[in-house]
Amino acid sequence: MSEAVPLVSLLGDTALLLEAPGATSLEAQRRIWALAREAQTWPEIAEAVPGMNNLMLTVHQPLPSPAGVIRRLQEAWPAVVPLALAGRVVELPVTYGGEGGPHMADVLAHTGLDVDEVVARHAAPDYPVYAIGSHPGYCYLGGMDPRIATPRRHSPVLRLPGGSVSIGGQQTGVSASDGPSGWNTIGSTTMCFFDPSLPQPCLLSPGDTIRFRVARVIR
Amino acid sequence: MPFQHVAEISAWLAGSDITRLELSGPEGVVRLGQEVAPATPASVAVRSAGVGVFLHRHPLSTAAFVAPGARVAAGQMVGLLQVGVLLMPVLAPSAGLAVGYLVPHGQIVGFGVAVLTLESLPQEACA
Amino acid sequence: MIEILSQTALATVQDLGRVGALGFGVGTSGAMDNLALAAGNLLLGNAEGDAGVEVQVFPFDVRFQAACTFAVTGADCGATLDGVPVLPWWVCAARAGQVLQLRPPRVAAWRGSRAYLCLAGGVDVPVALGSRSTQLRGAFGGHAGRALRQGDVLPVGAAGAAPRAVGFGVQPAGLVEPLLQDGLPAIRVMPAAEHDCYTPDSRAAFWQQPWKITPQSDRYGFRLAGPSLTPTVPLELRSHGIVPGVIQVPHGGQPIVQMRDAQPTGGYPKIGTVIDADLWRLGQAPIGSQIRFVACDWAGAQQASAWNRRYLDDIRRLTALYRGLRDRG
Repeated sequence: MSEAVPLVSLLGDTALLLEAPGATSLEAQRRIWALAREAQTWPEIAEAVPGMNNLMLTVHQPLPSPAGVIRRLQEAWPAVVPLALAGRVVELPVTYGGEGGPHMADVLAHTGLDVDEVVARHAAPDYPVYAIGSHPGYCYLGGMDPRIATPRRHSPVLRLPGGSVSIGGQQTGVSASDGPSGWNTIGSTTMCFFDPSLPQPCLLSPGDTIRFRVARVIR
Repeated sequence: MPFQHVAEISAWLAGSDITRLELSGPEGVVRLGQEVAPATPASVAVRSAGVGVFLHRHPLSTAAFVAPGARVAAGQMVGLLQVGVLLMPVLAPSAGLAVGYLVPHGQIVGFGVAVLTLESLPQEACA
Repeated sequence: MIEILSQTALATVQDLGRVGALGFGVGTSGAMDNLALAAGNLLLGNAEGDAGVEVQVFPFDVRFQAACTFAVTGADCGATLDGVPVLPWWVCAARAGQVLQLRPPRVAAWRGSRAYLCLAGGVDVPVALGSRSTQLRGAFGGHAGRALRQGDVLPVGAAGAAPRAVGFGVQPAGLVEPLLQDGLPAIRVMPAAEHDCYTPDSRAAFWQQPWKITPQSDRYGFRLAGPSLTPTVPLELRSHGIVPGVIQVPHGGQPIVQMRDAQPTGGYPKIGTVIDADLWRLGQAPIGSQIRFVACDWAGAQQASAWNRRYLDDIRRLTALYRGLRDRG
């Protein structure tokens, strides 16, 4: 199941990155969640942050050498029991295209599909929340139809509004607040994903599920 | 042989506020002294309050705290004493006209070393 | 309390950053020049991580609504208090009503671009998710989750036991430990995961050519201009955690160094990471200036961090001694 060795690299002298071997899968992500829980208990580790089939570990300073952490990660990867997170299902109504989806044309050009096909394929699956990241409350989702995958933009857009539904490579997501993004925005929704005054500031957690409902398509 | 160096010692003495110096050697004794003429303005030395590196200016600045001839107020900062990363002020004990720095910028000085000469202000001398 | 008098401030309240909220998608924020902020705090007898005001657009004017001991660290911006020059990196006393003015940074023996207004007692805004730093993207933390505006009033925390000596300072880190390579400021970098995926020419250029800080550089990231960096095959990565210092190369081939307001995840290929100990050097590099990258390994990065630690420990020790002598005398 996980005989392939994960790749561990350094992010400078404050963090390490473990990349799961093989194609992106929910199975591998469940292993990432389990490894994050375990690594969070190691004394050298400040924070274990799951990404898309990868895991970043920030380390307490000073750490004379990262070798011990790298070895532990490689030993723990095949040993952990994949974690099943059965969370809530949240439905988000989306307006596809138009002003709120300025890069729909780029996705159509890249995929060779028409608007209805892209919208249908984007709204069809239940998307598991793999990880939180990018900006406060933002959810990285798994399960997008590879047929609508579109490479990230050559240069990031400096200010994209909150609620933007975007595609970046093999992934899709919804921005939780205004900010820069390198993804292709195909639609928009309204939902509060983050409240810093709450003990659990994020609306969604890894293991929850997002369902996009087609509210409107602007051609 | 003390007599060899009388000239340079005298010159050095003139720039200090030492009034009497006695040098003794096998050949004899030399006494050097300088009289502070009552007609000339009295001068005051600004002295280092500790051991450190004396700075004419702040390390980020190109201008010295005082230029020769400048009026200096009592308590005004005329230099810095650097110890490691710490920068301590060297303050004028009284008002005066700056004559000039007595040690170069960046030189290590000991406790009590005169770093700047101040000449009493003319009006104060008259008062 | 201090009142912001400037109209277009773009200044923010920052401490040493927000630790432990990456898992909520919340980046660290914090002072671009963490050494300058920490040094200013130690000068004032504050905790090293108290909040101050990071100023990056000048002139910047504030009025002290009450008597306050302060220090301006970071870039030397020719500060004046009611028109009277005050030294940089120096403990100063302001009376109620006095106005502090910061002017554009001067070209000095060491040139910075960001100044830190540190106040005895620290800027006392509420702690949000463990930090007083402004989280611009999340619009929380700092003062109202945004950059400061004219008329904003910032509360100052209770300073330690009076009396407090004023009129002394410390050497800026950039003067104590300058780092140059072929005449340009050097930034130490550790190769990152995709370093070897770039063409040999691109790799050579990355390490040997100067890089210019473009005007599209801010607290989120520094966009650099220089030779185009090309991977041997196109790279498309899965989103993963990143930290400030990571040097991403978007498809355009011009690198972006993630800075303190960087998002906590990214997906562009990474050619290297600026070591933690040198982030302040890059954070002070003015727009339009040039820098060079110098290769570093884990041990070198740890040595650099240890130097930073010693610099701050020396300030803590020597200022405590001096303050003790003066307060007694």
